Amino acid sequence: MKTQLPHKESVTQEELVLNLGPQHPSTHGVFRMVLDLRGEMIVGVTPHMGYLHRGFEKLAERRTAVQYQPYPDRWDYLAAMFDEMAYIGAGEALLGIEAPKRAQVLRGIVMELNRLASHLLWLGTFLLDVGALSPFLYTFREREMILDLLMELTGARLTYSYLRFGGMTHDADETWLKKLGAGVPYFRQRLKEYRMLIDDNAIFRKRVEKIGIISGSTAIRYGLGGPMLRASGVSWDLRRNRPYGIYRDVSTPVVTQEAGDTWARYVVRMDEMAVSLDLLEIFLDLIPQGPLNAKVPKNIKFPDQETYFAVEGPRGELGVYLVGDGSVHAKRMKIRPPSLFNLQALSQLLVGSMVSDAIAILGSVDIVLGEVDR
Amino acid sequence: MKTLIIAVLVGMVIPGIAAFLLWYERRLLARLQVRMGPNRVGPQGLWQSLADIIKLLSKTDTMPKTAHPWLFRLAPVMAFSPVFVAFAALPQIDPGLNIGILYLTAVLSLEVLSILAAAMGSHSKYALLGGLRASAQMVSYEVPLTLALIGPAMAAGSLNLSVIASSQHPLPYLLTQPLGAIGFFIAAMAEAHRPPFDLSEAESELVAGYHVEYSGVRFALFVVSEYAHLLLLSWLMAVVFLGGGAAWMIALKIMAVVSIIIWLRATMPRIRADQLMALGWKILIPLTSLNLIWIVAWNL
Repeated sequence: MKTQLPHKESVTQEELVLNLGPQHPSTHGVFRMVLDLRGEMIVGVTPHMGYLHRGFEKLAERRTAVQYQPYPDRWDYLAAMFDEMAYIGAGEALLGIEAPKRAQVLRGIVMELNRLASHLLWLGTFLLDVGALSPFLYTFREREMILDLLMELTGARLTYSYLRFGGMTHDADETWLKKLGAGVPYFRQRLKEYRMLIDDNAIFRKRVEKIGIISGSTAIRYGLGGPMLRASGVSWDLRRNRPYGIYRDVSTPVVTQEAGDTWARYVVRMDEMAVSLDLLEIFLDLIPQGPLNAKVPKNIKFPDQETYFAVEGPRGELGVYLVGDGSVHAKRMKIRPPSLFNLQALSQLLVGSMVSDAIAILGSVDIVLGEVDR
Repeated sequence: MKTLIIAVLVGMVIPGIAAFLLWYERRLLARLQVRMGPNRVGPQGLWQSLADIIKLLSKTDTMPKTAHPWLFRLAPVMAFSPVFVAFAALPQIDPGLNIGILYLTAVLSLEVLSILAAAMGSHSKYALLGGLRASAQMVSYEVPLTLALIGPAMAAGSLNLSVIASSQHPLPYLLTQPLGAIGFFIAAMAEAHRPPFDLSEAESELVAGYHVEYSGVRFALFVVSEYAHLLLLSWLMAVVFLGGGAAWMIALKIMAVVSIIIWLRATMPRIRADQLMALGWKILIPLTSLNLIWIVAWNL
């Protein structure tokens, strides 16, 4: 991606190499990129990852299937339910267990709640990257309410360890479901407020429109997922295209935008929050009475088979490739983290834009380093 | 002797007012952002700025090894002095200064030197980028600022600020020269690096811009000079466009202007460097020039 500057006899020109991260406030954790700058224009990007590598794939080979259950929460700590669902779902597929209907609906509920919380955090930090201070505090107010709900249900704010093979740990009681039912219209109101405050802000529009453009075909070639892909006009959502759990029973509307720029990614995520609220209402109507846990063998052993199970996380396709060998450990586990794949398009997105755009574009990619580095 | 006393008083009082503005901004911004703001030190957290200043003064004086030794030390002082010297032109401090506007624009344009010194002296790429942005910004926004100030001077027929203040009697220049007032307000915000024009210290991009390497008392000097700059420009706005008046009227008008500036900070994202330049050269300069034509036509 490096381009050579024209050589001039009288003046020596060289590119300014700017090291952005891992301690920079806007790299959303410990991501580091080395930018080659010509003035404020970016001519080259070298991303460096791995500062948060904790060896989660290897750990799956050293812990038993049950012991490993709390670990997925730590991959993507902002949307831990999806990681749990990916791991538990892959395990269930290997073991041939199907969770009861009530557990499946409840999984749908907690996942959509978690998607809302994750998107709210993204919204706040993205606007912080663009330079607006206030939305961050507004979205955290709402996110805190969601975390309170999840804490009441699971006992934890971020790392829930809520899903189990064949079911869940705790059941949701009627008061909790009622509280959630009352929360949905409240959040819908808030979402409208956000869009009213942010959408037509002239400076915001000028800052995010027509930067970081990626076309649909390029997005597919890079293997992008989630809002990154849908903002480029590709209508692909695992909840509809490869449904799992309760999503097999409901039809999920897929939000797309054509432009493929940072603004389109913003719009897609905002609309997705509205979709999540609609889904929550549907799930609340669907939730049946009945058992929460399926019959599961006392000692869980992954059979000598392999499987790939993917869920539509807030950042894209979050998949777990799980190989068993008849023992209590996984023989091998591979995670497909959506953030890492989305990050691969970085040089495509950044080269040719300015430093301030780079921060806005990186914000719109919505990376979580815990997931990128695992 | 009298001048000396006034100078000492200004030197004592202005940092105090700047500290008050700092507290006021933090409280008001907090209310706009659904949080409390500093409310522990003193009544309503009023002594928070004082506590911060004491903390900053008692910090170890650190300096990067690679920094330019005297440029680095000089920069905060260079940021501090032009703003404080500029207060001398204000009618409440020296009503007799006949070249008020000329003096102000001349002194305020020295401000850019301090930023360049900090940027070059820090030996940091973030500081350099911030400094380059800031100097481009200040040099180009000085033009609309001066053009906007010429309007009232032409209408009043004097460069003396107290004459300008007293000559807007039935109507303040805000109403008779709205274009100039708007141009001045925006240019002043850009001049004082207020958000949304704070891209020289853009926290999310350049961490802290030109003062990224500064800490302790040198950092405090930058902050105090920034808030003194805010005070100066709000004061100027109150005198030149809002009709001046008695001391309490001036104070009220300054607070109104400062409140609007803080409100804008809570509402706006940061503008990009090239968009900032476009705004300055393509919108503000034509706007303020139009204001001059308007005054000429008015007085024909």
